Amino acid sequence: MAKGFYTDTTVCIGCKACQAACHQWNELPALNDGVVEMTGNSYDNTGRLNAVDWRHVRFIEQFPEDRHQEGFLKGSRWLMMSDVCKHCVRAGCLEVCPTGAIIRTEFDSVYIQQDVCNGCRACIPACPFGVVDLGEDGKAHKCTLCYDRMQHGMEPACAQACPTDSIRFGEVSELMALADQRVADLRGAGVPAYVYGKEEIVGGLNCFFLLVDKPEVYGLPSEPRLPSEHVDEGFALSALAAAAVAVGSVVAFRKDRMDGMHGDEEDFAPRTAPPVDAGGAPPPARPAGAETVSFMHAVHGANEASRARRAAPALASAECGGGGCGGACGCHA
Amino acid sequence: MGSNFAECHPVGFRWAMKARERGAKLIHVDPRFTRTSAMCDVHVPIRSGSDIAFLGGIINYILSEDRWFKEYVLHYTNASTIVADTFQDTDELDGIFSGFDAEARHYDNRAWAYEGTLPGMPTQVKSADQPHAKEGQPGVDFKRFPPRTDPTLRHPRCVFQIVKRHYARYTPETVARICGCTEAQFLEVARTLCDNSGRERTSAFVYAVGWTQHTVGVQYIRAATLIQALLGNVGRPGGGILALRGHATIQGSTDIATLYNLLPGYLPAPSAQVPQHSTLEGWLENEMPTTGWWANGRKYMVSFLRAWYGDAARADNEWGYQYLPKNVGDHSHMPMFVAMHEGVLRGFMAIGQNPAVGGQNAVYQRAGLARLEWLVVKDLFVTETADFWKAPDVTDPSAIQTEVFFFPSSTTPEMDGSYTNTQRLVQWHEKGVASPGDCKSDLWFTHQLVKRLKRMYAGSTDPKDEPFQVLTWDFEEVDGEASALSVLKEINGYTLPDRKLVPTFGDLKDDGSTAAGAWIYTGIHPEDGVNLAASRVSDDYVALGWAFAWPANRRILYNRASADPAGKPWSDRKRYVWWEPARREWVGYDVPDFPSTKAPSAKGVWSRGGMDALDGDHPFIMKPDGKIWLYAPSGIIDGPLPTHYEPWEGPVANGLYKLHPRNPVAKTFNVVGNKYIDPGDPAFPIVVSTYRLTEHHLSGAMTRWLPWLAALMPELFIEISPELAQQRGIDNAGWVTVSTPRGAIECKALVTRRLRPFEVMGRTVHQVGMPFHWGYRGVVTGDVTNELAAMVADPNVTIHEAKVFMCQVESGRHAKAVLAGLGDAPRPMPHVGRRERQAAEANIDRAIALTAAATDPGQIVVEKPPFPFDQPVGVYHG
Amino acid sequence: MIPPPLASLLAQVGSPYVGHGFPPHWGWYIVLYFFCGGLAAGTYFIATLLLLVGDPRDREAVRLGYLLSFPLLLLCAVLLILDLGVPLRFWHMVVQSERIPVPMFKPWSPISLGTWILSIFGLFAAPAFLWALAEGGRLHWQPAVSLIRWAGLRSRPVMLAWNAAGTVFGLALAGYTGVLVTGTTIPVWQNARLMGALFLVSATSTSYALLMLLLLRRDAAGSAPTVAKLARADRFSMVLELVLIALLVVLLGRASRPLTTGGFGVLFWVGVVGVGVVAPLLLHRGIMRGWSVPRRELVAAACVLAGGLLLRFVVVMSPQYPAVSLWSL
Repeated sequence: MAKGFYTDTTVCIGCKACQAACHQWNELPALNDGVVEMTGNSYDNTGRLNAVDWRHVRFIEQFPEDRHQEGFLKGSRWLMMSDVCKHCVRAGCLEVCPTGAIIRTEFDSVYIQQDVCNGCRACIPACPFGVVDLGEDGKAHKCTLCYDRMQHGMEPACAQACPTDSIRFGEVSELMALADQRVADLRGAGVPAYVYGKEEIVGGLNCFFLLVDKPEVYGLPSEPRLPSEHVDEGFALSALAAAAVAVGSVVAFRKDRMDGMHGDEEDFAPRTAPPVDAGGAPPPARPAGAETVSFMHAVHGANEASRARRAAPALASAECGGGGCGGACGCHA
Repeated sequence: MGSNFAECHPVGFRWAMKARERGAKLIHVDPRFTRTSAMCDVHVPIRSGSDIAFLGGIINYILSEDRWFKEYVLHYTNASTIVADTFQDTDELDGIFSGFDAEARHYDNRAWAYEGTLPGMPTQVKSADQPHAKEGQPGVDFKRFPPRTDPTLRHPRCVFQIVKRHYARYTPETVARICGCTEAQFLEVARTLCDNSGRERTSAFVYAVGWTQHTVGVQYIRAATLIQALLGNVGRPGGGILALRGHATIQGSTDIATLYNLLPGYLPAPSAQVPQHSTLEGWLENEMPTTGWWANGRKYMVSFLRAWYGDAARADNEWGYQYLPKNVGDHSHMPMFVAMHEGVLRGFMAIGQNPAVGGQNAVYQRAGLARLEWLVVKDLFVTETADFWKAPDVTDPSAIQTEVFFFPSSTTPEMDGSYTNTQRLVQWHEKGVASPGDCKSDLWFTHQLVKRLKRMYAGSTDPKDEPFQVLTWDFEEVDGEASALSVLKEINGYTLPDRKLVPTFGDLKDDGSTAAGAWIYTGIHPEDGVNLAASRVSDDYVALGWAFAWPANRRILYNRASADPAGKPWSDRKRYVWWEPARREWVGYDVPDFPSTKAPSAKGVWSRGGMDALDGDHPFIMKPDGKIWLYAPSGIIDGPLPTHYEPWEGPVANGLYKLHPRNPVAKTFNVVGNKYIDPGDPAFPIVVSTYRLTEHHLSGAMTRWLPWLAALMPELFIEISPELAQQRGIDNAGWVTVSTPRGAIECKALVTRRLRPFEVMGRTVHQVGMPFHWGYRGVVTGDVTNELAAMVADPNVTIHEAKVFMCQVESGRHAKAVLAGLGDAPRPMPHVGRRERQAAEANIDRAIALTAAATDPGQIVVEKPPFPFDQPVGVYHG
Repeated sequence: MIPPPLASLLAQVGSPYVGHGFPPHWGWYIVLYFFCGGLAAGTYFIATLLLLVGDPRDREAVRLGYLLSFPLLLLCAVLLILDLGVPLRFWHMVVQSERIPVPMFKPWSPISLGTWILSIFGLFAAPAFLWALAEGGRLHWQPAVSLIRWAGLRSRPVMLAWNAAGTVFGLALAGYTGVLVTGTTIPVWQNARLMGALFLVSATSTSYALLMLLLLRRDAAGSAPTVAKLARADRFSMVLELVLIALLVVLLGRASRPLTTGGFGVLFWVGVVGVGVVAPLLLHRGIMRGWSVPRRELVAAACVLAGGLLLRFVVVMSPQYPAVSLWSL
């Protein structure tokens, strides 16, 4: 029951009807209200898929160095391709969305619920195709595969508007069969066509493409990766680091103990309490209060210890119960 | 050729792509590598304005390689017809045909007549000049006898031999030299075309304004006609020469006559310059041939007059013929603006038109508007035309006296109506939503205007107001506008007085018992409640149930030619319409374009006239002799055969003719601010073509106000080859100044390898291209490309030459400086002064005098009328 | 939160981003969140550790640690919420907005996981904070007092167990901020498997620095022994951090360019590595003999903190705004 697009780039005439139809149906504002600069990048002036261009037509001019008539004609190509959200079988944006705003619909399309999204933007860098984008409203936006139209049995606006049927909408399995047939025909005619979006591409794309050149030429990754790829390792390594730091710190804390009463704090000796009291702490700078006293046990009676020590050092070990302090109080546990 | 199909007609291109998926081979011949080229199997870049050389080369290839479709050519074309010895070819006269009047820059086409029709034929020079004559009326007299023929095609003066001789010079080498392509490329196209034509296969030509917008525009299409006729690709499925019209239902607007020189249904409009037109009989005598289908002309004209003037159109007043206004000259677009400058034209209605941006030499045209007393603009948005007085180059708007009225317009989904598209298919559309605010349909506007005018003239006793008083205007009114359906019914026609709808134009009578607004549309609404334009029954082939195609719901014209002379299909593969001996009638997938029971073997009796004059194997029934004219003895102003002329502004000398490198009868406008560039002027060495983009529509009046579309193509740009860019130090997306003697504008550069310089006549010619969608109003604005173009036109139809003219290109922004240097470019100026006014009055007086003179048949018009009333024009391929 | 200007957006044209997502427009809120999150976790961790293996003299540090941790954590929450496109919907992260009160928990989504880690850590940090207040004698609000009692924090084992557990979540928080960027498809982030570890270590070192800073400013003499311990531990962290940075850059290879080249590169090498790690180490090792020890310690601590902040700034910003000048941020 998976629905999707089959975009045959070999019959795309780059008319951008899909872009216009998408804007119209989804009532999307124009990029910067229509006032943009000419990019000089062939006939493409909107640059990329973004929050308001859920379809984007790429223009790739391929012309040989040889500018003489014969050469000019050999291998001259002007590739055009209408890009769109791929509605991946394994969707990165869906994976990372922490609010459950991004869902998989009954049509197996990936849909961002605008009433749930809270604009954490995790999905934007999570998409390996750079589809999801942040809207002026602070929420994430992308192609909905015209979910609203599908619910009424209509095909998405772009597919309906496409004059050359470069964009076809339907059952993914059926579309794939069509595409395979087309690939066979084209290859028969010596065109190096292939389908981009079978299983090897993040588990398959519900919106796949028929291309005649490397994916990168069309701004598509040969090997798109999912955001979850290294997350587990990340956590594992963090844990290791944590352990390392903990151990390291413990060692560092215990170091003075191991060096006996000597260590770096010798540098401080002149400025601190007399050596005899080297191990001792300064009297607590706080008013004594019943409840606080009662709490002192929590710090394993260090106070009593020190106070007692000041009174009579001999009692120290007795007081602390022989190493109950773990040696911290200076007894010989 | 001459079309960027995918770019400008993407929806229609759907079918080209479908054909390609089914194995059809698409060839694109165009200076630039465009969206269309990207989709075609073969792209051949040729220099702008060299198409006739290329096509002529193909004709030569067909004839010299003996690839022509013998049987088809022999029976269905005038190849065998013998031409009078007064005809001399351009080769003999170095660029002109015989009959040329150098001082008047005008041809007397009697010199091109068929043998035997001279001497003693009525002199119909003017008539021959009438461009609508090319709708099929002969300038030669077929009334006595059919033209002489030589079926062996051996006669040195038979059309076949003349054509063969004429194109012998168009060798592959010559083509390559003139067009800047290689012989190999040319030969590949020629070969492919021939291989794909004949009994089993057909090829089609598709063109648009890339062919028409030239000083030899009509001849471009004629050249294609020759090829298609020689290859037998006319009247057959998958064949023909398909014109892609410039905008929605422009075809319909030509059918129902928005052109000044046509009445609805291609009936020629009466002209004061044609003495014979002073009476209905004279008009019929002069315009309607006695043989072929047009012999029915009287029925159509009378029915038309009855439709317009109702009961006021009676037998005793020539059916109201005299109510029709008569032309006094060329009233097409550019002459109108010249007339504004001369103060002859004082009011102007621009309805769905934006000449301030779309007009050739836009500054000149805006200056014309500035001299009007009033201007009505009816459009979706407040266009540049409505705001012409606020144009950036207007220094003092207060000095402009023109009173401008703006009427916000409804758009298609907001009204009932119909679209007639390029293959004459009329499709009805219903009103979907109500118009916002004060927006009104054109139908509402016209209806209200007529009602008011009729009220105004109601009491008048002045005879010139009579036409308004008697004009029938009884359409049923639906919320303030005439119901589109009732208009359609009148167009279809009905009987009088009982007003029963007429099913076919065969039922139209010349006795006043029928009325029809446009005979070609008769049958679109055959009976009450049946609007065929709204029918939507589809199938996978001809789909006769889908809407209505005029005439008579016929999808392919002249389809009798899809069968051989004996009436059998040329091949099973291409079977379309054929003769069924058993039933003794023509049958097929389409409505046969032939008398349904006229046997293929039937012999015509010339003296009987009409269709009876034609044989059963003369499919081209709109022609007096039922044949395709390879050689046009009349009807074409600039020559019976297409021949290569350089554009009015070209980069090189003519590769064929020294004396007359350019069209000798091209229509020029020698007025202030319209200076031309001499061929090969080093100051303006670069060839420029103007064109459209998918993202915008024409002057942008419908698209530049839409942010969605604006963002797709935000800025005016010029497409430049890397070679030229490097030479001029221009960066991609950097600023460029483009200039001609008419104006200078600034735009961004789009440096692309899709363009390349040409090697023409041994020198390098740089070609650039510019869209013309931008103006000074709307969401995105830009300079007006058409300020660069010159007003110069084809003599037949006065179409401007926008597809090729010369310019200069420099890096950076300095239009102001360049403009300052231009000098005589006119700027919008205050209201017409006294001197101009006097000149204007004089012009008008002379025009009137002329009309008066013309109404006296005895008197031969000697005086050449004052400019702009010099030559009439015809169908505009917008 | 508007998309980057068209200019920078179109800077990608010609060499379009291939194979990874677009910048999430994370800015200063996130940078500070990462920084404070680290500190919150680090201070808590250190306090607990001191509690575990420290001695009475560290009491001040312990209290300080717990006192800092919770407020920093609250600050984190505030920053996170402010950073949202729709702040009022922050709770959508915790509860399924359509099926209240079903919890919204997606362990495989770093942010979701992080939200829970943060919340749970908060549960641990809050009592510790109260305890610290009480310990400082600043807690006079009876309910809170009895809460502490009830929680049994008065008894050492409970206290230890409680805070040890809290520390786990604390460190998880510190590490997760790094893993968060690993959970994207932007190469320099995604390939940085060590980012979590690095952030965690940086978290502890900055926390050591923060504690030292405060202790020294309060009572240089009195806190000397503790500071000495902290300094040692900090050195260890910094060395570890240095190693991790080296590994990170090496393992990233070409993908590390946004981090290590251009304007951000300068910040990274000079700021993060130089000022943040090397300089403090040298100071500890006793350069600037002219300065008194506390002064050196102070400067070193300040450097570490600055370096920690810069680290997060560079990591977060560098891949997002390649076309934008550093100073316009």
